[in-house]
Amino acid sequence: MAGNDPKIQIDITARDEATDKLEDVAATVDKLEEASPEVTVGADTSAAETGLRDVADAAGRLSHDDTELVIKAQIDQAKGQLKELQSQLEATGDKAIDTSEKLDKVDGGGGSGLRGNAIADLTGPLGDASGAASDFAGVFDGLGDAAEAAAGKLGLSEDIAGKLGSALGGLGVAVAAGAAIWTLWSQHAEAARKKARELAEAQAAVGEAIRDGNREAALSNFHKAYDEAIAAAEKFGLKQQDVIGFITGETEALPGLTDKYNELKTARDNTADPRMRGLADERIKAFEDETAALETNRQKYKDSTAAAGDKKDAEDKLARQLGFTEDAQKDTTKAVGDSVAKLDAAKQSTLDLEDGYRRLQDRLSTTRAIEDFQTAMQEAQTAIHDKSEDTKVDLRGVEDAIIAAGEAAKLNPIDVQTAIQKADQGDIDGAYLFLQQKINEKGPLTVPVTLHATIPKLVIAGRGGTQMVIELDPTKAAAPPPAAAAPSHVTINMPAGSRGVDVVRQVAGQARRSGRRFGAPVVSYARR
Amino acid sequence: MGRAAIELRQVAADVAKIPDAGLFAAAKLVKRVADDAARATVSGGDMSGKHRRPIKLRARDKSIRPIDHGRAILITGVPAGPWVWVTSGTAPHTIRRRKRGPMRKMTVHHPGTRGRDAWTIVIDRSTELVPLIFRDLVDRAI
Repeated sequence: MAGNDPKIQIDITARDEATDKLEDVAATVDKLEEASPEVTVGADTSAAETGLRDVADAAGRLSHDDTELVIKAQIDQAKGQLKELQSQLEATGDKAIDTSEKLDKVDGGGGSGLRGNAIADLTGPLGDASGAASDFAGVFDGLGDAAEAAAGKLGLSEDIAGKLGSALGGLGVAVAAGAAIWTLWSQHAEAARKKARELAEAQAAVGEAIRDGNREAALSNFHKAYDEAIAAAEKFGLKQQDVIGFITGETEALPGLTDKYNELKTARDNTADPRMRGLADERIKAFEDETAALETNRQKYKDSTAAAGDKKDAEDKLARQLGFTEDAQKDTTKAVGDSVAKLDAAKQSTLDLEDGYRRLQDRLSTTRAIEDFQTAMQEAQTAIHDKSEDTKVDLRGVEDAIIAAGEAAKLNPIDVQTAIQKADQGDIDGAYLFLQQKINEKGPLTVPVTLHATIPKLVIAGRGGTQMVIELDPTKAAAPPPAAAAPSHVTINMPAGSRGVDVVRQVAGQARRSGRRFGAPVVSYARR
Repeated sequence: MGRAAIELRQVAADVAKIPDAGLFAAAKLVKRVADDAARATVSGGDMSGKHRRPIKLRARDKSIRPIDHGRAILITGVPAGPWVWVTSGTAPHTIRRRKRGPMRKMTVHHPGTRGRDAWTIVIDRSTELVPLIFRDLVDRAI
């Protein structure tokens, strides 16, 4: 049969022996990866280890008691520096405002553009930083006072209050310092948390001590006041515990009191001897007096309990005040942390302002050089026009103006030489136009002032104590704006019969056109 | 499982898909080559059959079948007879006279044809192009 004729058959076979081998290789690789081979990399880590040890030492010092004193002393020094910084910032801000006003006057009062774009932006952070510096210093002023005031409210002696104020102040500063670098160095933050915990425990201990002291005093006074009554009651066979319970109001009656009284009366009645009878009467009289004294003491204790309750309320109030003090310290900590960021922004703004002044100075010098050039050229043209010839002096002035303008505009020396040659040949107009064209090609002179964020870096320096230094990242040059792409024009000849305006599809050759008669290879399934 | 092992297994899975995908594309290519060869051999790719009914030369594939360590597909030129004629030629033979009238059943001598190696062209062209398909698929997989 012709259909089975091998002459007109093609049998394509695809054998796949790679997949199994790849699976085997993958399994082998999987085993190798599970083995977790160790790779030893040789490197000199001594410098890094030394740095880590320094950091660890610094962290250890921060948690040491002496560190509080060091930090407190440094804070006093920092307060003075902050005040100085505040005045400097205010002076810089005033200088910036004054400068911007002068610039406005230079431009005829219409505004220079610089003020709106750069200097006005700079004065804002300067003002904020000045306020931050004031807040920062005020925080330290109020911290110690608040601590001592809180201690005074505890009713402690002046000496103890001073010590407690010092401790609270030192701890507060430690908390503030730790919070300021919270995001920069976690170990400092850990030390600060430790100090905060110690502070809380100390406050709790003080409150507990006050309460314990009151309890011991009350117990001592109780024995002092009721010892005689208790001792007298014991003479009549009453238990001390029962007597104390009756006085303190825990029990409403003394067990055995009535029985004892009846026993005394029975003993008197049963005695016939007048002397013994008189003695029994005295015992009964003493027992009655003792009973009345117990009742009196019971009433006194009841009255004193109310006073003790009032005292306890006062203690609770003091405890709440201590809580308020702790919250205030937390707020202070946050304020200090915020102030550090503002100070960073202020310092960066100052750097940017200085950079802006420098660029402004460059711009003014360049502009003036070009203006001088234009003036010299115009004067030379006028002189030549009046004299009908150019003098040697005029030409030298023109040459100097060309060189000065070319140098200021940073033109190619070849262009400058070309302009000078044109002037030497008497073509003053040509030299003027040529050089002006080259200056224009350099583009308009701009003063790029860019405010960019920098990352503060913490540096731990010195062995004598912990010093917090915020080191700003070196000023990064502002990236030049990307040059605008030159416009390109492309002429697209649309094929005949094309539909719509989908140029992309037409150019990409994916369009359906109106039939094979165009002979395009992109036509598929076209109707005949 | 490690990253390298996962990637290798992914490659293996992609490679395993190559036979079916390659055979499917190869079959389409061979059929197109057959159409081109038919058009190049006879005018418009159609032979004139009985009663002026055109005979279209084309190729047809059977479904993909499994073989040891792989897959295969069979492409056959249909109709088989005309493909043999345009490939191998014909021996001299007689044909009926194609005119009406009393002598319409008279036979005449046909000298035969030499054959134009039409299917041979299909085989040669496919032998050249089909490996390129598989090479492209392997490049994509790896």
